[in-house]
Amino acid sequence: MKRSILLLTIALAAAPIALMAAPANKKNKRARAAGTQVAPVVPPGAPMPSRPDEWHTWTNAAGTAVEAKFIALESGILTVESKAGKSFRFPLTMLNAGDQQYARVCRELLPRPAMAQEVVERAAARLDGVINAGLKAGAVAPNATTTDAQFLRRIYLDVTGRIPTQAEAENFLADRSPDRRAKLINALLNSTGYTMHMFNYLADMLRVKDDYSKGARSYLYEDWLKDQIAINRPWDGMVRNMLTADGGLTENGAAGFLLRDAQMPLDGVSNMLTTFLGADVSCAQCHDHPFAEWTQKDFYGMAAFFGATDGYHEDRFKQIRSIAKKGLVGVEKGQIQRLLGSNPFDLVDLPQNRLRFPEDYKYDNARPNQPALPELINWSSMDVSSSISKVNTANAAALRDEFAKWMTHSDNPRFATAIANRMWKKVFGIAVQEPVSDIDSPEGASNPELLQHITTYMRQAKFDLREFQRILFNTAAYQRQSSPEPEDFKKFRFPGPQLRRMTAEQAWDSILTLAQGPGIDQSFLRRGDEVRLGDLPDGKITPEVVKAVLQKVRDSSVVMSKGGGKKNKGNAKVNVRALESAYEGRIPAQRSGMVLARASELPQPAPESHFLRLFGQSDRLVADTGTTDGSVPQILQLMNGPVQEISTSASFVLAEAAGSKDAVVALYHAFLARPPSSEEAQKAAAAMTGELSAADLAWVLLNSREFLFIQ
Amino acid sequence: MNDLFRDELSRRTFAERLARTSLGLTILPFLPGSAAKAVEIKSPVPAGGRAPGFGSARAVIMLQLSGGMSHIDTFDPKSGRSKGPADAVKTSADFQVTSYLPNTAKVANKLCVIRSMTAKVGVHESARYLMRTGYEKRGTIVHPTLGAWAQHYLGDSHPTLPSSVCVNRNSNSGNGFFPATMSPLPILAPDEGLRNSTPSAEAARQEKRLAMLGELDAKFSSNQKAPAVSAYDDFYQSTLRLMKGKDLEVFDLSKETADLRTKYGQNRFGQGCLLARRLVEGGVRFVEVESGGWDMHKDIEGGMEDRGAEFDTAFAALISDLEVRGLLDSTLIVVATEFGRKPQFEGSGRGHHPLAFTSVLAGAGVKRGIAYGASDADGGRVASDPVTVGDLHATIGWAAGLPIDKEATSPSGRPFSVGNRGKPVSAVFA
Repeated sequence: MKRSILLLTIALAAAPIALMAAPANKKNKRARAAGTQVAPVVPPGAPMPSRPDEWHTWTNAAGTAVEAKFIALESGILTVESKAGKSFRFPLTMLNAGDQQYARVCRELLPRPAMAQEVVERAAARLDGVINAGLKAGAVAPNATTTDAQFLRRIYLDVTGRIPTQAEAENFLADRSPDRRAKLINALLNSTGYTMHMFNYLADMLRVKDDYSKGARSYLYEDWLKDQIAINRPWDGMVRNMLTADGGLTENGAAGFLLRDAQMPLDGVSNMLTTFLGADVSCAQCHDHPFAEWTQKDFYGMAAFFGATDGYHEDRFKQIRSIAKKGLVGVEKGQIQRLLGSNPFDLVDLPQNRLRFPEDYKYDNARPNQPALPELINWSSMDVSSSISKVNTANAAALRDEFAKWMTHSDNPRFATAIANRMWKKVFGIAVQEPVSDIDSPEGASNPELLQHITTYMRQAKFDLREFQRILFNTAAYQRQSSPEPEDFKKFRFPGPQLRRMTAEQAWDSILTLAQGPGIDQSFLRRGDEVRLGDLPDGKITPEVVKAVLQKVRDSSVVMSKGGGKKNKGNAKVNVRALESAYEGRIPAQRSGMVLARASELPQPAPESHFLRLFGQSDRLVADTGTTDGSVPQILQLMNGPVQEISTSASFVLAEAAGSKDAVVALYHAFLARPPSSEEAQKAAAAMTGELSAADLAWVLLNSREFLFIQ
Repeated sequence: MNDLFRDELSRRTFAERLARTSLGLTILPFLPGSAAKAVEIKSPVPAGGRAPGFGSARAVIMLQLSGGMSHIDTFDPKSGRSKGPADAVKTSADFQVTSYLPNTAKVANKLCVIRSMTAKVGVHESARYLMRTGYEKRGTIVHPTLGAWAQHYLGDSHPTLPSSVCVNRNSNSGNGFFPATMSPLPILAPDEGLRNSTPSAEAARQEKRLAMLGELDAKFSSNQKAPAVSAYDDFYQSTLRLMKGKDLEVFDLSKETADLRTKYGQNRFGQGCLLARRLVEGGVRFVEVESGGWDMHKDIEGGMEDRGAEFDTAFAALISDLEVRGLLDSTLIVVATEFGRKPQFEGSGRGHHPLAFTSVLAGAGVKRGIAYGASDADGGRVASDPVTVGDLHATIGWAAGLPIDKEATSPSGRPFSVGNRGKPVSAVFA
């Protein structure tokens, strides 16, 4: 059942280059032998690529080879993707000299990383034209352009997910160059904060959570997602990878997406269609949609593409549980389940599609319990005749590959629109078509022409989300002052972005910036090794097998987390010692029982009474459910809780202010990214000549509405 | 956005229905422009009759016994092969309970035991979700708990205090698809009361800070006419009121006598029940108190002597205390659990058993001292008058005066109702 990927993964721990022996075809699972055939070393000076995405045989210094195509080369880490759709990351230096050169040429040939500024600006201007026409048609006046200070705070929060520090604010506000805004956008889009903020967005959208069930952990998937964002993997490739991945939670990060719903695959399909295509099918899972045209039969037709895919293996769960129950000599109670619990989650394709219509199916177009055949949905008759709709459903084991090809194709009628509309909402606060989960009728968008344009740009940007957002951030519309929440989202014409409360993650990350400074962008939580080590081989799981794997775990340098989900229940505290060894880069500080790491670098989601959850971080059960509603416990937190404590005593921001010539100005820059007005400066100074200190002003600014909102 | 989901119209007509319930079923809403239209309440009670129990519960206390309470070893004792370690004992009512519940036996004449609960879900997380929301768990929507439903239809229960609170557990998005303001406020340790409610500076400094905050922030708040900003202004006002006023005291168990605290039992569940009484007394509408540790796959005897005794003490104390204070008639107490436990023993314990189990109602217009429905001789199947979890929710909703026939639309446009179209068990109301 568990194939070569497993062997490769084990080999990875010993000698990373063994990864290179990945089989060329994922369905050919007995390709292990390939790893033993040593391919000749490619001599330096071998032919160089004419296109970056050509298939190429990559060979390491020891002569092991794999056929794959170049994906990215960033910070000395090469990412390639095999024909199986699997991506592999390793240091460039592992390759022979010829292939190192080949990779560098590939990177130069990429249309990315950045579009020329003039291209971006031209695209932004086109969008502005469409927005302005919409404003005119609705007789709505555009908002005034933001001040530099307003723009500064907003762009930091929107791109990197946190406020600027005092120094960052002062640097920008002192810059008089005409292209200062564009320069800042570019710098921020290439920062680690971008990855973290983008991860938070995707985690909410994809319902990312650490714990799949009893001891099963999605750490490899989370690491994979972060890597994809960091290397700026285009959206279509990333999604295709998620839909076609093979292997288990312990082996393949990309598999974590489908495994998320392995125990409720129909819900998974429903979420997938809603999230990636904006097809509002959730009703049709149980009955014909009451208003839209989706029928339950449509739903089952789509779900059938995943009908041959099996993700959760009860037999393996039972074998592990039975050993865990009996216990093993010298093994701490609970450890077996905790370390090995991910093993029952493993994506495999069976030779047959097993999906059937439900027992209580009540429509005439199919019989109850009849096998459900794969059939694509369409939005218009043109879709039916489109070449991408010609999928091959003959081979059950390849059904989801066919589906993925159709869904992520640039010509898919909704795929580009759905993600463009989502990114627009991320930037402007409101989507061109609301809600993002239902774009079945694009003519219902607030500005249908705008929706068309952003779809086109998404395709032209080849699903590069960073470049797409760069265009939006450069529009005059984005750089205008914000509008309050409209009464009807569907009629908003974008005179400027919407005034928003910070998301939970933005608020937490901003408070950490005050408490700790910009160093928080350099702590990266990576817990994949832990699950990878707990990978069990194929076949029956015996006590001997378990003992051997546990021994391997003990021999490794990876420190295992102590689990303790139950004991920690309801406790806002994150077990620091358990997490510490999983951080790369800077080890985050801890105070008042909190780990001061950014939201993306904490357990997913945070424990329920954590600041993040209190401020609306999604519980990751349903897509896009992070909220920005207020509550009394939030205010209690800001006024009296640990977050005010970490920002108003021994904090980075107070130390920085103490070293400035005017503490009031410094604190205003740090909290609000603007200087105080003369009236504010006077009032603050007057109050501070009395009993109040800089720490009190910090408390006041933290509790101001202006702090929590993004203008 | 929030207002989209809060149906003002239904709330107003509903408040009026509530006021006129005793006068009959048909009322004229006094909405301008629709004066001539009569609104009829669809009710399982025959037209023309009274609507027993409707709106009788001003507050609801739901005791969630997490893990799955064995019905056979508590409220539905059996003789014969499924009998547990404890004997059945007489009570102050016509039905028996096991000897694990001596205090409960004394207040049994105030209880209505439903012995015919039935469900299909035998997995903890899903069954707990079903019991909290009345809906089966799905990955595409989160359903509201009863407290959120009540807040949606009836509005806030108190100007300062939260409308619903959950004790000894997290809220787990109890607001469901309703706005976060309807999420129950979690109190994880009853002894500690409301977290972060102690000012971070001494009074004089705090006053000065607040004055400065008022001065410096006024401009932003007045420049931004956004509802989201003014909502935050309101939350600050509510919080300050809560911190300054007497309201905070409802969270403070130290205001209770040592005697009474002991009577409830010096443990999290006991103190949680006492806190629930204080909250309800103070104006909180819906309180959920959780007791963990009922998953007795092993050692039912030890488990019942431990968890069972805690429950017995606290439950009986709660009933008596509410009665003494004259609150029992307006407060509905519900004993809920995920499922029952198997008639057959597996070693010293019993496995999960959703097909037949027990819930208990007390107070607020509910008949006193009766057993409703029955399980069969083994306790394995429902023998008469089955009640589903949806029915139980509809019953509670009915008592709380909620329009259980009405549908509310989630932001994703899907219709839902209290108890998922379950039927209220009207026979339990006096």
